[in-house]
Amino acid sequence: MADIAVVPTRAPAQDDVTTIEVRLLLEAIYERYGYDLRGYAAASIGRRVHLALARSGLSDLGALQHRLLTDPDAFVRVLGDLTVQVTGLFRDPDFYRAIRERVVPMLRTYPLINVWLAGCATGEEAYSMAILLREEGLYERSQIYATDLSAAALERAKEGVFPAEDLAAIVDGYGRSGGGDTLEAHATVAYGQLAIKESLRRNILFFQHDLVSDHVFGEMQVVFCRNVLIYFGRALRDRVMRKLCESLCSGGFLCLGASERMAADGREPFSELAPNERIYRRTGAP
Amino acid sequence: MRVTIRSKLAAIVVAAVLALVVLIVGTNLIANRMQAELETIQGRYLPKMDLGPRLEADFERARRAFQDAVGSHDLDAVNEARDRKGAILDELAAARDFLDPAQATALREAIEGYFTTAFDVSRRLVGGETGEALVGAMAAMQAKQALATDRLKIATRLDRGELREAFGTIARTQTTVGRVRLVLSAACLALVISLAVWVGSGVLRSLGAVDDGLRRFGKGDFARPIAVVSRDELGDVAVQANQMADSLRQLMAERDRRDWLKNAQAGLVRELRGELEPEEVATRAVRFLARAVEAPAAALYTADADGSFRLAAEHALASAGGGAPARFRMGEGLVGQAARQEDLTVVSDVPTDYMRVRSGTGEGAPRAIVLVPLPHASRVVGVLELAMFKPWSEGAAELVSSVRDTLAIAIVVARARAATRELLAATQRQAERLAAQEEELRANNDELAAQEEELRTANTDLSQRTEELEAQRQTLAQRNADLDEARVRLEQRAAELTTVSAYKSQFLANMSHELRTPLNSMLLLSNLLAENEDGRLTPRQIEFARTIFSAGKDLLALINQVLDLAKVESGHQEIEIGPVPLADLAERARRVFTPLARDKGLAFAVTVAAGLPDAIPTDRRRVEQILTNLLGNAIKFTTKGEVTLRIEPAGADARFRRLDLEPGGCIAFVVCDTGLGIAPEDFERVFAPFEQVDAAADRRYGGTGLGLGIARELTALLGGELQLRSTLGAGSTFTCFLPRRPPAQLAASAGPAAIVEPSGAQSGRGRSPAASSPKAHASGAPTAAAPGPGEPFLLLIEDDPVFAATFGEVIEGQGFTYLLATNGQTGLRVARERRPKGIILDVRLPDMDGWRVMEKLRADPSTASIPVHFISALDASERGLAMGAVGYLTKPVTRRDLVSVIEALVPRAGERSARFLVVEDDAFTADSIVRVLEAERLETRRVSSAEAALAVLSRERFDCMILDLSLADMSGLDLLQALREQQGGAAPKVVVYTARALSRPETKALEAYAEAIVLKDGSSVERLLDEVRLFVRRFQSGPGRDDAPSRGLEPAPPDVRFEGRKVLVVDDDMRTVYALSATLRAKGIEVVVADTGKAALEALEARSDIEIVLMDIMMPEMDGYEAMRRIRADARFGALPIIALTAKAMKGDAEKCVEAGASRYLPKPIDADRLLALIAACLGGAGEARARG
Repeated sequence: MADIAVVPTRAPAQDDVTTIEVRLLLEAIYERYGYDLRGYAAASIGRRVHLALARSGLSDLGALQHRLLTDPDAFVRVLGDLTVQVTGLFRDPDFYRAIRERVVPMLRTYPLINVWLAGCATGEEAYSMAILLREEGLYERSQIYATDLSAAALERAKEGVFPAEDLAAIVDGYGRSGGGDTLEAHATVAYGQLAIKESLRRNILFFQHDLVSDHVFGEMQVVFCRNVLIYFGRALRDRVMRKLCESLCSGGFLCLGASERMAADGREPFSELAPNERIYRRTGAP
Repeated sequence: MRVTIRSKLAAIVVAAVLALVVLIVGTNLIANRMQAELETIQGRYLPKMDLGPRLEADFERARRAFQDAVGSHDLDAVNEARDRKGAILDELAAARDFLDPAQATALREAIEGYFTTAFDVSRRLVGGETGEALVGAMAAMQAKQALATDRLKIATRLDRGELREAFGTIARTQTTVGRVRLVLSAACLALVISLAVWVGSGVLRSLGAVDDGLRRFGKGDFARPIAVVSRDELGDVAVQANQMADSLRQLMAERDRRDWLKNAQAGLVRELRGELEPEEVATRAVRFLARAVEAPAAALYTADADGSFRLAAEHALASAGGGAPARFRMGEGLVGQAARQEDLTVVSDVPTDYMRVRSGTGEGAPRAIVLVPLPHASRVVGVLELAMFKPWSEGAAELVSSVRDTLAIAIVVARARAATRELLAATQRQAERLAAQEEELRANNDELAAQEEELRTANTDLSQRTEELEAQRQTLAQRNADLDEARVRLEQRAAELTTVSAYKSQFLANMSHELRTPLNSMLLLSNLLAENEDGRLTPRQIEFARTIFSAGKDLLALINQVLDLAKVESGHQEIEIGPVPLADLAERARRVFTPLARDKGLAFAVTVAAGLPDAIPTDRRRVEQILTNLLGNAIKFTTKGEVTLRIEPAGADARFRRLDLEPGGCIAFVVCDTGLGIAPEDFERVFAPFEQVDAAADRRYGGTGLGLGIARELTALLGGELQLRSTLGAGSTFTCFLPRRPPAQLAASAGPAAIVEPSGAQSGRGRSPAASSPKAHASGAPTAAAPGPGEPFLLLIEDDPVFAATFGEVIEGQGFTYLLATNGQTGLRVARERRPKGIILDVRLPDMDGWRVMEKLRADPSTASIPVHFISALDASERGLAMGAVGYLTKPVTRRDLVSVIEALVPRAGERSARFLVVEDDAFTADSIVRVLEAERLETRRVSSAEAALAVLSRERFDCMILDLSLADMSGLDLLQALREQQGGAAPKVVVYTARALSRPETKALEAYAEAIVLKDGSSVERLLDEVRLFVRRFQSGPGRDDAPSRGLEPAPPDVRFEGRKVLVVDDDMRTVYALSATLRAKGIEVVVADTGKAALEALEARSDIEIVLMDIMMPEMDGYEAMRRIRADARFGALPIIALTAKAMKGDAEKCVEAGASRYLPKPIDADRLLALIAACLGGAGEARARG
């Protein structure tokens, strides 16, 4: 049919009916699978739902909802579209440089270092951090918990193999992040793919975890929650923030994404460590 | 008179204005007159000129009107023409003003005549009359007409002469005006010009003078002031300019002086520049200053180390006859005196023979001597002396004052430089010496190396020996363990024995009482019989009755004594403390025992030593009983010789078994006899009940053998000690030591509340014997006379009265009061109602155990926050601490332990800052830590070994310990364990600060003891400081409270119990592990911990007695799913209950856990009640399951 691939071009949030449909869809997902996307920022989740609708080839959200409720495989595919997965190895060199220069000296004083990457997507960030910790000689006493909502993303993350198309960008990012070695020391490049070395995967634990509904699981020295909070509405953001805070040891480090920042009113118990790179330190007792 | 320029100018203006006004007014007056003339002409002549023609025309018109009327024969028209006369006359009347009145009257008459005539004629003509008369009338009429016309002309004619005269007047007036104006103007002008010339010339003269003066000043010539020529503004200017010139002159003088001063100062600095010897400095300074102030002679004295002043340099003094003295002491001479004060000393009018300054050309006496002390850093380092020819000028004084400091500093610096140079030389010499020594050392070193080699050989032997020693040590340790075990068994046996003994005493006490009742009847009756009042008995029967009576009395005495002993032993003895005069005791002994001794032929003496108190506080009856027993015993066993009682101070050499006794605090009652004596091996036996040393003696001397035992018990009861010294065959000495002051224990038996008043309360104690008896405690009532409401106190829940009394004494020693509860129920009630500061809790209690009490305390919000310290013979500190106790102390305990218990319960945190103990063997590191802490204003103590740390910690209380793990004498972990054993929950918080790399297990082990672990790497100092600050903040917000309870989960229901069950907790997050362990241990569960799935499997392999597993899911190495699958894969663990704990709460997670093998599933955060309920459910069924498996 000709109208199958019609994608609404105007902003869906402005349309009441569409808003209701999106909400119902998210409600259905929560009821059926337990994934709670309901607190996400309406405009952003609306856009992504419509992206998923376009990819599914269905005509309307009602049909998509029906398919998601009846076909778990379809849901897994759609979940990838609904949750945000933009990441790359050493994607933000300045950030990693700040970690190296500002955070690592502190981490050296801990006998065991727990790092939690909340919303690790396909794992690039986790491996970047692992490489950094190895170069700083801290990897052996580090444990990286990389969690994400999407099981499919986690599967890919566990493989540790990434397309080497933007190898130049990765090498450049690695260099600018202060990497003292060559990237080859940590990864093998062949057949247009980049495979992280096995030794780097040892202390990374990939796990499915829902920031919204699941509880924190341990005391962390570092928590990454980059480019996750922006997709959450205000209430949800605050709740997740409390969780991250609860998980951090006193003096632990919280790393947010470039467009996320701490509430300016100081009600969150963090001090700025490298505000430009969005690295904060937990103050006060747990 | 002063006339200012301004007023002169004003005068000119005023004159000019006045002249102008006169001019204007004059001219005006004349002009007015001219105007009046003109108006006259206008008013008189002009209307006259108009009136002539007009009257003529009117008259003509009237004449014609008559003609016309006649012509038309109209009578009416005639009348009408006649009426015209009125108008003409009116007009004539109006012009009366400017007509000549005579002429006007004539004119009037002429006109009236004409009209009369004309009317008459006209009327007659109209009437048609003709005749002469008429013609005559007509001629008259014409005559009248001509007359009227003439007169009219005369009346209205202008008078030319008159007119000319009027104009002539006007022209004259005008000429006068012009003349007056000219004269006035000329006068004004002349006045103004003359004034201006006068003022101008004065101003110019003054200006000239000022200009001249200012030019001079500009050239710098201030000598002559400007002459003041006028007394006006310019005069003022001249005066001001003169003042300015004065000021300028002064300024320039000042500048010159300053320049001179500055040049001189700079010159001196230049002179003293460079590395100069002190002498050179002095010489140059003297030379320069003498020249600068133009002093013919000068000298500089500098201070030596001994405070005297030495001549360092002179200027032209050698010529002054004999030179200057080389040295002054402080205060000696002018120089010495000057050194004492800070200011300059100037001696003027020097006598001519004081000193003379000579030159080639002559000599002279100086006029002034100036002494300048040179102070530096509140010390005078030198004195400068200047001899002056000139009087001492202010400039010179200023110069000298200003360079004093410079000079002093130069001297000090030069000296310091000289000293440095000296030191440098010395250092070089030392360096050379060191080089030589080093050479020697090297030789020694070689020697040592050789010796080391030898030692190594010897070492090998030693290590063998060490191994042997190690084996021996192990054997010893084993034996020690055995001994410990035996000790524990013995203690238990002893406890049982004590109980049995108490029962026995109780029984005896009851029995004796029962026996006495029938015995009394028997004695009464047998006595009656023996008296034989009826006389019916035979002497033999009387003898029998007497025997019965005597035997009965013996029996009664025996029973009484048994009863006494039993009472003492069972603790039923009542003590009544009161002042007992020693003289009374002596008197009574004398009275009672002198006859007895006499009967046996023995000497008996009682002596009371001097220097004793008149009375001692004790129980009179008991003391008498003791003395009676001792003396009775002595007399009984002595056949010849003497028995003495001495009351005296205890000898300084006395030794006591009781720790609370000391010789100075005791009075000795010494009973000496010359009897049989006792062999040392029998010393103990004589005190044992029913024992006599020689079985045969029993028969010889009769008696029960209870006396000494009772005496000893009573002595102990009174807080004293009974001692025996004896030699077989040479008599015995029993010494009863009694304390001068009743012991606390005695007081304790009267109830803790009474301890509050240690002196003067003896009678008070005696009054409440019931409260003091253990029976009263057993009834469960807390002891009476409690601390006042609101007064802080401790609650002691303890059923052992002796321990309670001891502890009570310690508590009071620490300045607290306390309440005693002898069972759990009472304890709980008191805790709820009275809110003690802290609770000391025994585990074994008669009604419910301490665990239970603790649970109830924690479950009740009103008591949950009261700190609790366990003290028990049961070694279960882990469980106690897990329940949230401040500490756990295992009996037996020392006094120091008890003090630390109180300190742990009632920390005085509010009154002080946190105290830190730094345990670090590297002095440099320790130093830096201490400095960091002290910068935070924290009280810090540092030690360098574990042993020292333990020692310090046992003496003092610290809040936080910063611990280096690599100590020489003990590993950090061992230290922490030892500390936990020593102090339990009262141990300080620990921050481990170490350079050692820690393995994962090591870290986890340390985390059980340490608040934080900081590796000496990266920004470790910063981090250490963070942790310290964090600690301090917490310390301040919650002073001294242990946070163990907060670590646990929610309080669990107290009624579920799992004594001795074993649970494996698998979780990699230490927080969770602590929380779970605390909750479980509080329930009596034994907890085994594993931090990964792999470790869990190993733990299960190693210990077969684990009954349940709590399994976290997200773990490194092996996650929970995998671990559960592997556990289930092992047939042995097929039915082992596993509770999965997971942070994940999504749908499907539970199913996943169950699939992997979990029996149950619990989401985090963990709810303690649910967890315990689950464990209860699992354990309930699992026991059977495992039994079947």
